Parts: sequence; structure tokens; C-alpha cells
Amino acid sequence: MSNRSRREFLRRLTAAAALAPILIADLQAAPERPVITKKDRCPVCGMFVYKYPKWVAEIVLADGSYYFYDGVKDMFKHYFDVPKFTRGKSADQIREIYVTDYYEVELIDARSAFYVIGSDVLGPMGHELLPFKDRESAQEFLQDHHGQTIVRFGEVTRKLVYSLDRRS
Amino acid sequence: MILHPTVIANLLASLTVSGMILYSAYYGLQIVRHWDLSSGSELQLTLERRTYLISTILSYVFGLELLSLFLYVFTADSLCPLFVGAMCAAGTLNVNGFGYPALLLKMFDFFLAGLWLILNHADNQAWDYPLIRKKYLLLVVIAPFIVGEMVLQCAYFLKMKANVITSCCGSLFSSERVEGLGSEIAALSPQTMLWMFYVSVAVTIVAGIHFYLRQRGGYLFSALAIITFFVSIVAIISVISLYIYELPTHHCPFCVLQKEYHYVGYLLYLALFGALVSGGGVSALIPFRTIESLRTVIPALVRKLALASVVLYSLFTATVTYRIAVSHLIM
Amino acid sequence: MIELVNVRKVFNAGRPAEFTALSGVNLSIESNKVTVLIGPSGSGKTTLLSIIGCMSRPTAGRVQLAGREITSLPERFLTDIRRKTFGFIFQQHNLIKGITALENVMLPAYPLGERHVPLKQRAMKLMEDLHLSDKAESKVEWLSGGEAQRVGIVRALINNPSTIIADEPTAHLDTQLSHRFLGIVKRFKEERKTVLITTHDPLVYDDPVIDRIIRLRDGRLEVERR
Repeated sequence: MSNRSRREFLRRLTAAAALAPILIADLQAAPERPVITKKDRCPVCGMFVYKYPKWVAEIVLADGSYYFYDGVKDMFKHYFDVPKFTRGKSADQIREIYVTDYYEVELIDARSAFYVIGSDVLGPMGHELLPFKDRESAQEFLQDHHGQTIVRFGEVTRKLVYSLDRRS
Repeated sequence: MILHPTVIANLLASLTVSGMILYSAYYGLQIVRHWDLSSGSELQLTLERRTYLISTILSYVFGLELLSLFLYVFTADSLCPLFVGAMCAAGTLNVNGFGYPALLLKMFDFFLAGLWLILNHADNQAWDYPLIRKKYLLLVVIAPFIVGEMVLQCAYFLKMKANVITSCCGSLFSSERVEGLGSEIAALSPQTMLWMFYVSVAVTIVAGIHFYLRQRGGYLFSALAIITFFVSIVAIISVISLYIYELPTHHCPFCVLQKEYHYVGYLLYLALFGALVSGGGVSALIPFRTIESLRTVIPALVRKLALASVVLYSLFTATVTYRIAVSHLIM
Repeated sequence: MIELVNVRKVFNAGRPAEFTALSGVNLSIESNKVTVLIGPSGSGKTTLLSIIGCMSRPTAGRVQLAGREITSLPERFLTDIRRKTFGFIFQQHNLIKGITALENVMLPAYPLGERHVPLKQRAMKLMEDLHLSDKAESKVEWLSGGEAQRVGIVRALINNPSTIIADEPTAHLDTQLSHRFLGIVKRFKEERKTVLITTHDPLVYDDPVIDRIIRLRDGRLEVERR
């Protein structure tokens, strides 16, 4: 290569290198959020989710399919029995789980959230697990609304979830 | 009690119907005891005038009774936002112990009301009131069921409390739960039920067309029409609902009445109940075809009833088939 | 044959204004004959006529028309018989104002669903028989008393009934027109129709066309003559 073309080439390489971080950052930005439409129904109970925007929970699978729920309880019901409510899918395909923080009313990661059970606040499906993004908010809520305990994602069991289906 | 317009409409309708039926049953009983067409006595002529009034009143009252079944379900559906855990009529009906019994009794009374209207219509076509005693005896038999229905409805609506958590239809009609008729029906195999439904309705339609053309096999057709009604209801819960909702576990028969499903439930149930009454009415009239004044009336009437039943079952089947065909459900 | 068995008619029964118009009338009216009912006002003539003509029902008793019992018939059958069997001629002609004479004549035939053209032809022919052709398209208000009465008669004939019922038909007619009316009655008799007339008018009940006179007083029959 001649001197002149080598300098040209280096200049272009530097320019590309300068742009690289921006491009990589772009790729790593959060993917498009699935939007709730009027036709979305909770696969566990069939309720139309758009009617209860403050209670929405969401599961996204590896193949890109996603499900909305009208409450954390129904999300867990699906989580513990994926093939029953959605044929051909299984729990190991789950990539992301989101729940709506009760105070902030925005989607937070379910696996790191704190859940209050036994409180006097009822969701669309009755007794619920109410999610919070940190322990302080969960504690404050527990005291204000006579909650019983705070549990983490890993501590939630099938039995616990179905016990919330009581009518009193 | 919840002062919702639909609740008030239901209670008013129920009280009106019961009141008018008790009034009519009282006079109907007089007619049953003293009717004598050949006598020219003042009592007889008074009874003749009276039956004209009473049968007119009852035509409207029983017509209202037919509509009130759908009004009741519509009310339960409208009230569901008031109750935590309810998302359709299923939840609302479960709010206290009277909701479902009232519904079942209303369905039975729908059938009785339809039968009475058919009998009354036939009687009015003849010049000598041939069915008058039977008609008013049937009225006296129906009366306690109507009053019972009114009592159950009043108990249901008046004892309705807003601060209860009721079962969601997902759990009432879930195939998981061990107890409850809803769950047992939901747990039946969907494919089997679908086949049973199509076979049942096809046989009924064929029997109906055969009766329409040949005037033979009326009782058989009636029996088939009634059986197909029950098979269809079970099919709705166990398999048809799954296709309409496109959810493999949602068996609720009441969610189809909602706006999001284009109120298709009303069409389905209207067709189904209409087919039941017209099909059953055939065997209510056939025994009387030998009466002189009904000799020309009854054959024409039962043919029309059979045709109505066939058409309604066809409409039901067509709607169901369409919904299954366009459904995205993967079974 | 029209038979009345023990016919009673009471108005306002059980109330202070209770009035018995007919008390136990037993009567047979022969077919193809002209019968006249006479009696003072309030004797129950018009009531009896309306019961015979299926326009009202008695309080007690039965009426038979050619062997068929009519008082117990449901309304729909009664209207059918009334329309086909009887032709009514009223005292006050009772034509409907605002429409023509021809339309008045055709009116009772409409419920029977006949096609318009043959009906109109029949009506015109009947009107010709009574010399009313040139008045056919006149509005009813423009007719004289006699013409209106004749239009009323034609209207009574449009459905070719077997029985003509006339309530005081000559009350508003002069002597000449009354005679003309009786001539029409004679024609009815020749056509083998049954005619029933109520009247005060001696011109009518002394006429030879009359076969039988029945007297009513206070809702009861009196002795007959002829």
C-alpha cells in the first residue's frame, strides 16, 4: 500500500473505532416492551388484562412469545404449570418475568422483588402477592395494610399461591 | 341490596309475573271447576269473557318471563365489576347461595312458560276452547315454580353484599377442582364431547326434517330435541368455550355473553333455548290432534314448531362451527 | 234459522245503575222471511238486535245461528261470522265522513282480502241496482238523507250476507223513500235473504211484505200476531 492510501485507511479505521462504542451500546439497549392490547387475556383465568393496568404481570419466553396476567397470583399459577395453560411451552423457556410495583406503578423484575402477602388490599382476583422493588417499601406497606409476611421470589410455592384463593 | 337499574328491573319483572300468575291461577281454577260450554248460565258466560282477558294477560306475562331469563343473566354480567374476583356473570351468581339455584329454576320456568304459550296458542285457534281445562291446570302447576323463582331472585338480590370476594369463573369451571358440577363437565374430554355434540345435533335435525315432511316420529323428535339441548350445554362448557376464548383451560359458559366476544353468547343461548321449547312443544300438542276443532290446527302448528326447532339448532351449530373454524386455539 | 234461548242482558251489573235490557227472551226467527220487532223506546229492541247480529254478548243464554252456537265463540271467530253472515243498516246510516260513497260501500269487504278491481266492480253494480251510480264518487257529506240511507243499504250488501238487520231504517225517510225502502226489502225476500227490522213506523209494520211481528216490552216478548 502507498503512504497516502495507508493514511486514508487509518483515518477511516479510527473513525469507525470512535463510532463503535455507540453502536455496541445501541445493541445492548433494552428490547421493545410488548404492549398490552385490548385482546390480551390472562392465560390462567381469561380476564382481559387492559382493564387492570396497575396489576399487570408479564412473562417473556426465549422464543419471543409473551403473556400478560391480571395479577401476580395468576402469573405464579402459570409459572408453576406452564404446559397446562399454554400447550407446547415449558418453564425452562422463560427468559424474563416482570411485575408492577404497587407504589411506583411501573414494571420491575419479578425475581428481585419483595412480595407482601396477607394484606387487606385485594386485586382483581382477590387476595394477592403485592410486589415492591425494595424491602423498605414492602415493610411500610405491610405495616399500613396489616400484611402478614414478606417473601422473595424463590420462597413462593405452589401451595402458597393457591392458598390465596380463599374467599375471606 | 344494590340499587342498579338492572336489579330493579329484574325484581319488578319478577314481582309482576308472580302477581299476575297468582291472579290468573285463581280464576283459572274457577274455570277448571265450573266450565261447561253447553250451559247458557250467567256464570258460564262470565267465564267465557274472563278467559279472553286472562289468556291475553298470560300471553304477555309469560312472554316477559321468557325475556327475564336473559335479563337475569345480563344483570349478573353487568354487576360483576362490583365484586372482587368476578369477571363475568359466573362470579356474580356465586356471591351468595341463591344465585345459581335461581338461575336453574329460571331455566326450568322458561321451558314451562314456552310450553304454556304453545298450548294457549293452539287453544285459541279453535272455536270451542278444547284445551281450556288442561291449559289452566298447567297454569296452576306452573304457579308455585314461578313464585319459588321470585322468592329465590328476591333473596339473591336483596342479600347481595358488595364487600365479598367471589370465585372467579376460571376456578368454578376449572377441570382441576374435584367438587362442583361445573368442574365435572369441564373435565370431560373435549374431542369426545365435540363429536357427541355434532352427532346429537345432526340426528335431531334429520329427525326434525323427517317429521316436517312425513308427519311421523314427532315424539322421537321431541325427545331428541331435549337431549340435544343438554348435550349442547355440556359441549359449550367442555369444548366450545375453549375455541371461543382461544384458551385451553377456560370453560366458563358466561364469559361468552360479554362485549369482547361480540355478545355471541346471547345468540347461542337464544337459539338453544328457543330450539328446546319449540322441539318440546311438538310432543305437547300431538296428543290433541284428534280433537275435532283442532284437527286442522295442530298438524300445521307442530310442523311449524319442528321447523323452528330445526332452524334454531342449525343456527346454533353454524355459529359454533364458524367460531371453531376461525379460532386460533391449538388443542 | 236464528234461535235465542233464555237470553238475558244486564248493563252495569252489581252497580247502582243496574239495568236489565232483556230478561229471558226465547225466540226463533225463521230464515228467508221478513220479521219485524216492535215496542216502545227502552224495550230492548236495539239490544236484542245487536245480540243477534253478534255485536254484543248476552249476560246469560245462548244464540244459535243455523244450528251453530255463536255466543261462546272466541272473538276472532265471531268477527268472521259477523262479517260474512250479517249486513247492518243503521238508523243513523253511520257512513264514514271524508271518503266517498263508493269507498264506504267497499269498506266491510277489505278485511276479507278480496282483490280491488273485482270488488269495485261488484260495488258499482250494487250501487247501480239502487240508482246510485252517479253518486258513487261523491263525498258522503254531499248526499241527501235518502241517498245516504241507500248507500248504507248497499254497504250492508257488499259481502252478500244471508241476513239483513235494519234498526229503524225509515226513521229519517219521507213516505216516498220509505216505500222505496220496502220495495228493496221485497227484493231481499225474493233473493231468499232473512230480514230483521225494528221499527216504530206503521208504514213498515202494516206492509204486506212483513211475515211476522214480534212485540217487546220491558225486555220481554209479548203476544204475537200474524
